[in-house]
Amino acid sequence: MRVDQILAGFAEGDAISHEALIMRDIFRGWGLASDIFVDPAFVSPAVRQECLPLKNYKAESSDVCIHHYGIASSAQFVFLDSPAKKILIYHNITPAEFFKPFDDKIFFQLTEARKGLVRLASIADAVWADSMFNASELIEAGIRDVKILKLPLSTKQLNLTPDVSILNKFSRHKLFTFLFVGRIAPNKNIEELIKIFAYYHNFINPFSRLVIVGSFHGVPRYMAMLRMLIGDLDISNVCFEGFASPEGLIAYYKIADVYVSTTNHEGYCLPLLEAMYFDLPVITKAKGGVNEAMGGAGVMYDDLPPSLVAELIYHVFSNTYLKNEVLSSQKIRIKEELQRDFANELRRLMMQWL
Amino acid sequence: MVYLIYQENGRFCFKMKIFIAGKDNTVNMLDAIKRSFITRMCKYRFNWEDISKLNVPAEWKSEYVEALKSKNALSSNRISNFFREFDKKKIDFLPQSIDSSQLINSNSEKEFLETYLKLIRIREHIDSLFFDIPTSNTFIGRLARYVKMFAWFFLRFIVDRIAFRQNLINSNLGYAIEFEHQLLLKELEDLKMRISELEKKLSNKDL
Repeated sequence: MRVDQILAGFAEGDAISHEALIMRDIFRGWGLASDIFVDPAFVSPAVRQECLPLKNYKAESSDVCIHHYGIASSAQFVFLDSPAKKILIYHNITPAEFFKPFDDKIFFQLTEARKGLVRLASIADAVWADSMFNASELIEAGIRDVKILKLPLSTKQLNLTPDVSILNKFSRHKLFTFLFVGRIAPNKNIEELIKIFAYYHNFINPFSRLVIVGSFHGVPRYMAMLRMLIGDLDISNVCFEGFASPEGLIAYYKIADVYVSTTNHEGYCLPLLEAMYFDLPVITKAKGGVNEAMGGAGVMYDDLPPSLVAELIYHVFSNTYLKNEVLSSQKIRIKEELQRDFANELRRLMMQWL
Repeated sequence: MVYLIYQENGRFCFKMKIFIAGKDNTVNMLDAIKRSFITRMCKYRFNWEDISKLNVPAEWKSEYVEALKSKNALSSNRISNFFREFDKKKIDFLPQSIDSSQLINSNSEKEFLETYLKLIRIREHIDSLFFDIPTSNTFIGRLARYVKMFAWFFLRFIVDRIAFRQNLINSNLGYAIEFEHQLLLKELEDLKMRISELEKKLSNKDL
């Protein structure tokens, strides 16, 4: 018996790819043959050796095929045609409307993905979601018996040695550093983050900077809009760092003072937990699956204008009692996360097929 | 203290929400935030019209106006007014018609490009105006700031010349992009016309 996984894309630093790797290692640890299949056109060079070409996928009826679903791709047709028992893991489809002004192709892919969701879920033998928020979307679409398997937080990745060049680059000037980790996409609402920082930088602390870590090649028109906004606001300390290696990412968490997220749509949001792991106060907009990732820790807000979010950040940092309360709540949350037995959760969900 | 922003099912609700360590701290935090916000805005003597662009609750107006009045009464000597000119901060907002945020309301890539080109034409110039110099609150920090201010005055004759040259290059590039876009649109229109003429001819032949 084999347990294979099919993905639309595979990249270093991507939460879904990372989950697939962890799951593959667990399956192999159970003595099962397991591989990851992806279209080579959508595999980043650094992780090419971790997966096999999608066209090489073969299965028998006694095998299990897991499809990680978040966007329309050729992988879903391979999943549909597979004779194996099918498990669909729903990682959330970003509402296509966010991409309407910026990218017609992504808009189309997301619209198609949303249309294909019910079809894929209805032919699957089991449907899993990585948060209650994602599960609720499936239930609303009429899919029954959705199980939850939250994204795992890998301490192995977080305990790597930080990239010294990044530490040196940012430690030259001691500035109060806002950090955001995530690809530059319209659903992340980075324009609001820039406005928050603009107010903080102009009126509260001019010795500050905003560091945004994540690929900015996906939606170039959105990036162009952000650059124009930065020019309009006349702020200089906004650093778009692009994609970071695992060691680089650790360095960014180490140099930051606060993690701020203004995302408008998120299935779960693993970087919030990573920031907590590095003891950074997390301030985030309470939208989508963010509430579950935060689990009652850190600071969450809703419907606050950017100027008042900046004031909120100032208050969290100027009030020691408040800051300690935030940090201790995050410590409890991260402890709870680290005590999770992901392999056991997976075994319980897969019991009927093992 | 009134933060009642909207009504839901006949009940007034807080629209703004702040949760700290899992507890709803909206009332306490908003009160603290309001106080620090008003103090900060008073420092820079903004009028309420500017501040209202920051989308803060309208209920804060009377308190702000009062605070501003007492602040103005306290300090109004000529020297502090002179230095305040250099401390001037701006609340960014551009008129809606030229604001970059309008790009998010485009309905397609095509509409985005049209708006983007329009916006870029009015943003191609750089200015050589004085800009805010971050100052640490120490003697050295303040001294360094005045040295930098002096350097800015002293070097203006160079900076203005460089800015002028750069603006010439920028505007030429702006024109080039605009002309290319217009040419592409024209070629597209011509092609569309030719295709429709060919389709007409073909359908006549079929008949």
